This record gives sequence, C-alpha cells and structure tokens, in this order.
Amino acid sequence: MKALLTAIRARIRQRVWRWLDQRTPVTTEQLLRQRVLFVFPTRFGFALLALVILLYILGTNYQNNLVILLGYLLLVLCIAAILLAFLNLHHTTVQAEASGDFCVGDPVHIMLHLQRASGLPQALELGWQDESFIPATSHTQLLTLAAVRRGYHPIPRLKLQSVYPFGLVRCWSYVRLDCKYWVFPKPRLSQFSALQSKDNSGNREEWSGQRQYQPGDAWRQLDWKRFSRQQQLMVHQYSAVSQPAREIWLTADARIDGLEAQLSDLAARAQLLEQAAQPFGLRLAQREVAIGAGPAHLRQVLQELALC
Amino acid sequence: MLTLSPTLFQALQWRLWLFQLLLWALLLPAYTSWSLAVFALLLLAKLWQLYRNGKPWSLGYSNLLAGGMLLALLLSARDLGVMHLMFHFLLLAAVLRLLGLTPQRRTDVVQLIWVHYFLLACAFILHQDLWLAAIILVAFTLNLYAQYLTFCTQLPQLNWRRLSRNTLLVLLFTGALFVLFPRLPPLWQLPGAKMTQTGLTDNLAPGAVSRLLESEDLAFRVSFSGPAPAASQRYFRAKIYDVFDGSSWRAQRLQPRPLAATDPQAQYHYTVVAEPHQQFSLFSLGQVQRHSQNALATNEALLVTEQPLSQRLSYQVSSSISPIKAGGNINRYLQLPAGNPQSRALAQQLSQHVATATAPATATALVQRISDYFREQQFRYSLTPGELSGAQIDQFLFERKLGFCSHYAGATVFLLRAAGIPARLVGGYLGGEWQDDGAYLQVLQKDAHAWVEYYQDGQWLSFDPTALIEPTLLLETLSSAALNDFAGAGGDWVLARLQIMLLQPLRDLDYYWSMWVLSFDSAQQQGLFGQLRQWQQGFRLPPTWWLWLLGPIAMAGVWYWWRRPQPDPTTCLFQPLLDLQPKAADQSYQQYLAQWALQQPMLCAEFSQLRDSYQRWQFGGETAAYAESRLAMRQLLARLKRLRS
Repeated sequence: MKALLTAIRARIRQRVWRWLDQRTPVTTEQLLRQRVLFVFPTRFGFALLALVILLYILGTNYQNNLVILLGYLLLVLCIAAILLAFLNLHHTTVQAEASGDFCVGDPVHIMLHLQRASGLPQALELGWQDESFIPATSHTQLLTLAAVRRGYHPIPRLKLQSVYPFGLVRCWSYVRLDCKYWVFPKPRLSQFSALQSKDNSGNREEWSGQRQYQPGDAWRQLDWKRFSRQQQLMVHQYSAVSQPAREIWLTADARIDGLEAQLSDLAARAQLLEQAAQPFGLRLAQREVAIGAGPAHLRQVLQELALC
Repeated sequence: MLTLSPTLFQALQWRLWLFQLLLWALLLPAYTSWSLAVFALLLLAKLWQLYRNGKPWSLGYSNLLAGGMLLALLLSARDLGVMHLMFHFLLLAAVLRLLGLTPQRRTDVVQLIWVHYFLLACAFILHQDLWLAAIILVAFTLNLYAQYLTFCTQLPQLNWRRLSRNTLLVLLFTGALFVLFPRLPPLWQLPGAKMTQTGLTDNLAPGAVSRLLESEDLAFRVSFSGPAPAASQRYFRAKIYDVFDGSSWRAQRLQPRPLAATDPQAQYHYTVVAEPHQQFSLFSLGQVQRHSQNALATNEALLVTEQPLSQRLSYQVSSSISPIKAGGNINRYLQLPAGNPQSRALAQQLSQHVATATAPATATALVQRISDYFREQQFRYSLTPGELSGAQIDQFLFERKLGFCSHYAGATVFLLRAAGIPARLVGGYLGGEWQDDGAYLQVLQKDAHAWVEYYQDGQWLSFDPTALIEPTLLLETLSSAALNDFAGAGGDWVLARLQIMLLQPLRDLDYYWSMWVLSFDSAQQQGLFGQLRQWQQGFRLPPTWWLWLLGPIAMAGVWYWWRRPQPDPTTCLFQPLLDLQPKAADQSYQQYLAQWALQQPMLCAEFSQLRDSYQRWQFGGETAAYAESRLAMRQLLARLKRLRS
C-alpha cells in the first residue's frame, strides 16, 4: 500500500515536472512573467481564511456587524495579498553564470543576476530544486552546488519564492536557465607519475641566446651587466636540452587501476607540463588533442578529460 | 523558517506589546479586578523585558504561570460566564506567548498574530461605539503592521502613496462585500457574557428608580418614519410589574408568543436602536402591530429579546397608541400583600363613593376619583422625597404626600387592586429629546417612568397619575430648550453649554453609525438593492442635467491640459526617437543621432539630414531650420517605422 502510494506520488511529480518543463523552456535569461509565476496560500493564509469563516459565523450568531466587517476586511486582505505577492516578483529578470571551472569535490559557484527596473523583489528566497532556500539580498547572488561528477553539466532548476508582504500567499517560480559549468577530474598524480616527474626535474637547461625584455619576463633572467653598461634591457633565454627533440603525448597510464584515477593522473600531469611551459598533446582511446601550450590548450585538454 | 533580524524583531515586539496594551484596555469590561491586575503585571514584565533587552521567558516558566492562572480562572468560571472565560484564556495565551517570543521561531509570531485578530473580534462583541470601533481599527492596523514586519527582511521604508492607494482599494472592496454579501439569521445560540444589568431592572424599588432618574446615560434612540406622536403620548413600554411584596414591585419573565392578527392600520412606524442593558426587555409604544424578526412579542404586547441584550440592537416596530388587548388570566393582577390598612380603607371608601355617584360604576370612574383625591389632598412631585419604611403605601398616601412616578403609580395600583379592579404597574420611558433637527429621538435613563394600566371591558387602559401632579413631564423638550434652562445657573452654564455643543455632534455621529453600520441587516440590504434599481431607472436624466454634470468635468480637464508643463522645443523634436531609445545623460543630440545612424545604416542619409538641420537651428541661429528639422523627423519616423515593423 505504502509502496503504491509513493509510486503514485512519484508518477504525479514526474507529470508535474514535465508539464513545468513544457511551460518554461530553457532560456539564457528568464523574465518572470505571469506564465512562470505561481501563487498559492501558505499555511498561515489558510489559517486566516479559516478565521474569516469563524468570524462570519461569530458575527452572524451575535448579529454583530462589526465582527462580520472585520472578517470581510481580512478576506479582502487575503485576496490583496495574492496580487501583492505576485507583483513583488513580477517582471524580474534572472540570469545565471558559472564563475569559472571546477574540479570534482570543489563547491561550484553559480552567480545569479537579478534585475528589475523598479527595484528588487522584497524578501526573496532562492534555492535549487530539492534544496533549501537562502535569502537574496543583492542584485548578484552566489549559489553553490556540489561538483559530484566530472563533465559538462547544466545547472538544475532554480526556485525563487517569496511570501512578502503578509506571509499569506506564497508566490514562486521554477526557472530553467541555460547555464552550464565544467567539472574537471581532480588532478592527482599517481605514484608512477610522481617518480617520473622527479626524474624530469634533473633536466638541464642551456643558454640559447638573448632577446628584448618584455613586461612579464622574470627579473632573474635579466642581463644586468648589459643593463648597467648600455641601459638596454635584455633577457637571457634558456631552453631545455631535450626540448626540440621531444614531443610529449599524454596517454592513459595502464598501470593505474580505474578510469577515474587515470584521468586524475592525466589532469595532474597536464597541469605540471603547463606550469613548465612544455607543449604537449593528449591521446586517448577515441580522442586526441593536438600538441599545444597555454592556458586555453590546458583547458581544452581538461575538457576532453572531463567528457571522457 | 528563517530567523528574524534583531532590529526587526525588536520593532516587531514593540508593536505587538502596544497592541496588547490596547487590547487589555479594550477588554476591560470583561475582567475581574484580580485578572486585570495579573494581565497588567504581565504586560509590565514584557515592557521591562523589552526595555532591558532581557531574555525571553522559558516555556516551563510560562506553562507554570499559565497553569496557576487557568486554575484560578476555572475556579471563578461561574462568575465570569463562558464568553468572558474565553476572553481570559485567549489574552492569557497571547500575553504569555509574547513574553516567550524568540526570533528563531517565526511560527510563534504568526500564531500570536492570528490570536490577536480573533481577540479584536471579541473586542467588537463588547464595544460597538464609533469611538471604540475607531480604536479597534487602530489596533488592527498595528497588528497588520506587525504581520508585515514578520515577513520583511529589513526594516521597511513605507511608500505612502502606494500604501494609501492600496488601503483605499481594500476598504472599498470590504465595503462592497459588507453591503452585497448575503446575511444570515443566527445559526445557533452562543453563550452570552455575564454583565451587570443597567436601566430599569426587574425589581422596582423607589430608591433604585431615583438613582436612575439622575442618570444621563443613553437608553435608546428612535427614529420615526412618517409622523411621530407628541411628547405626552410617547410612553415607551418596557416592563410590567405585577407582583407587589409590600416594599417593591417585581416584573416576571414574560413568555414570548406570536402576535395575534390585529388591526393592520398602525399609526406609527419607527426604528429603535437600544443600548445594551443585559436584560430581555425592549421598548415599544402602545399596542404593537408588527415588528422585525430580531424581537419577540409577548401576551402583554411588550417586545423582548431571546437573550439578554449584550450589544446594541436595532429593530423596527409598527404600533398604534390604543388600549392593549387583554388576554390570559386577569385575576393575578389582583394580588396584594397584607398590610397598609389605611390605604385599603381609602380604596373601599373611594369605590363606594364612585358606586353611589355614577350609574355604572366603571374602573375609569374610580381612576378619575383617585386622581381627584391626589389633587384635593395636594400631593406634590419631588425626586428626593426621602426613604419610606414600614407600610409604604400608607406612609406615602397619608403622611408624606410627596414622591415621584413609582410612588404615585404604585399607590394607584394598590388602591385599584384593593378596590377589586385588576391593575398593573408599567415601567418604561416617557418623552425623550429630539436630536439633529428632529431626525431622531434620544431617550436617556433619566426619562425612565412608571405608570398604571387598569383593566376594563377586556382592555388595559393606561393612566399616569404622576402627570397629574407634574404636568411639565409631558412637555416637549428640545436640546435647544434645555440650553435655555441653564441661563440662570451661573458659571456652570458655560461649561454645560460647551459640553452639549461639543458632545452632541459626536452623539449624532454615533447614532448614524449605529443606524447604518451596526444595524445593517438583510432587510436594509434588500432595501438598498431596491433603491439601486430605482436609481438605475432614474438615471435617464434629461440632457441638460448631463450637460451640467459633465460640463465642469470637461472644463477642468481642458484647463488641466492647458496648464500642463510644456517641454522645451528640442525635447519636443526628439521625443519620438527618445521614446524608442533613451539618450544617455552625457550624450549630445548630435552624438545621439550618430548612434542611431550606426544602428540603422539604411537611414544614414536621413539621420545626417536631421542632424544638419538641427545644428543649423540650434547653433546657426536659423529659426526656419526648426520647421525643416521637424519635417525631416517626420519623414525619418515614417521610414523607421517601415523598417522596424
């Protein structure tokens, strides 16, 4: 019996979500219109309506017009609260933006931008679907998510709600925003790679010439003697002995158990190579990233790893 | 549930405390002295807590206090009555909840606010005066504001314009609901409050009446539709005192009985607004022919209520001033206690005299003889005749010969009964004062009166012995006439005059409040609908009327339009474009047009033409260029419209 009930409830819930999805398609920027805003009395609202009925009976039985009048006043207040709660959220625009990329296990920060010509909604509460609310106080609001799985994820449905002004009526909206965020594998060197990187640290670098100083070059590499003689800023250039000869291709290390561990290892190695300004490429079973360098290249490699 | 911020919570608590203070004052009539003191102490404790930022009371402490208080209340439940007991419970719960309020639990605040609304309704059961109703409305606003604060995130800045607009709308809709929503008769009986009785009580002791005759309190108010009887005929009957125990007259509780079909032609139609007096009796003139549903008629042609009157009641009556039809057992109106031998002898003597003097010895003849006797013996009228003791009737008739209505009426009934004629003492009110240019009659407690009804030929005839002694009782008194009476009274006169001048408008306002708001019932509702229908038909006004009605409005509109602020010519020129896309504050119009041209490359030529003519007008000083630029603008807009559609 209980199982049946929960099954029915799950079914109904599914139906409702599907209906909601049809009603509110994914957009980059959601305007809270009449179509996406819902209102329903809160428990207090129902209690006050019950009080209205009670007052009507009391006023009728005592034939007391003032009690009846008070009942009507409360009833009109309940009705006005519907309108006021709706107008409180109406015409607000919501936008979401992921603030950067994240690794598995990190908290994901999503920036929400709320906008309205006539000031922000009062006493607004925000939250993800199936999670608790936090109060919204400014135009940009930071919401966090847990990064559980690597990949390229859309943000879940966003709930916005408010019981302003009298707590009698709840006005809420489920917003689906077109915002995705990257969760990369957590970089962690395996024991094998750790050994290898120690070997690599022994590589010597040789002087390969000089060039004009550019802002951002390391001060250590400045040719100070020449600067004192000719007032000319030159930078020593070094290159690894083996660099021109070797192309580094990162491949999954078959000695490591489990795909996730392999990906973590690859991510860690890619980051190390990027730090060493070493161009590298990525070769996986179905994917390949051509040799390259720079932050954009690293991000591309990590994205491939995340999607693997 | 989210917690409330500290500043907000403090503000909220102050509002709630103030509300409870108001409520405490409003529910004053419901308390006994000790509960009054306990609630006052609890409120003081809350004030101390608020002032010192103290900790909220723990639940255990509150429960302990509540337990003790409940026990005390239940012990005194008998004296309090069910309704007052409920008031006590509710207020106790509210005050203790306020003392234990914490910002973490918003549900507590919400429950408290709910109970407050209910207590406001209770206050309305106790008070219906306009002024107290206004105070209750203030308390309502306070509670509503507290409710608003509960759901705010920070201390709000009230937008007065929007607030007043919303308030107006809410009041308008409430009024509409009040007028239009159907009204029901009472669904079931509710427990009444136990209150002290005021006005004429069921026991007519001369001493109590003399106190009543000095009271300026309002008893009831009457408005007549159609003609009103003269002051000498305005005997409002309220009670029948039929049992005499030697010292006081007692009225028995009358059984309601549906009115027998009587003479359909009633003389007077009137509405009575009775003040609550915690008794069953209502007020009516002479023989009642018809009455509204909220009053019940009795065998004695009196009107009563089902329950003691605990709030203002308005009822409609039609009656004619004629002898009352007798019914039931007449012999009980012959009851007399032993004693007063002199009076009995006098009664015998008078009736024998009547029997020998007139051919048919009627009751009326005896009554005439009794009044002659009063006149011959030089009885006088006084509100302070001193206490009577022992054989009261003998003492009054043969020693004092001084007294007021209840003495005369009581003695007359005694004499009639002793002579074997059924008679009874009637208590009620006589006269009253016209108010607000004769719009309604105001009857005060000092207008209380007692007179006699005696039985003859199946009818009860009325006789007022007091009026024989003091004929001024029958004179019409007006509020302005009352003012003149003070003329010789010295310094007090100014004060009294001032009091009447200031208070009477308020009393008038209170009267209309009770006529239109308190006594609005389904009959009046139907009447209003009928009137609306009439208006609808009457709305086909002659055209000249419409001209008079709409002419001033149109003229005001034209004037307003004429006086509207004129924009400068530059804004006037660019307004159509500005409507489409606003201009930045630091942007010149040339830059603005260049921006437009960038956005609409197809119209580049038009925009540059407009800019050219604008520059020539604004900076070149060519006035003719303004017309040119207007023309350019018009062409530009036409093309722009085509492009954008």
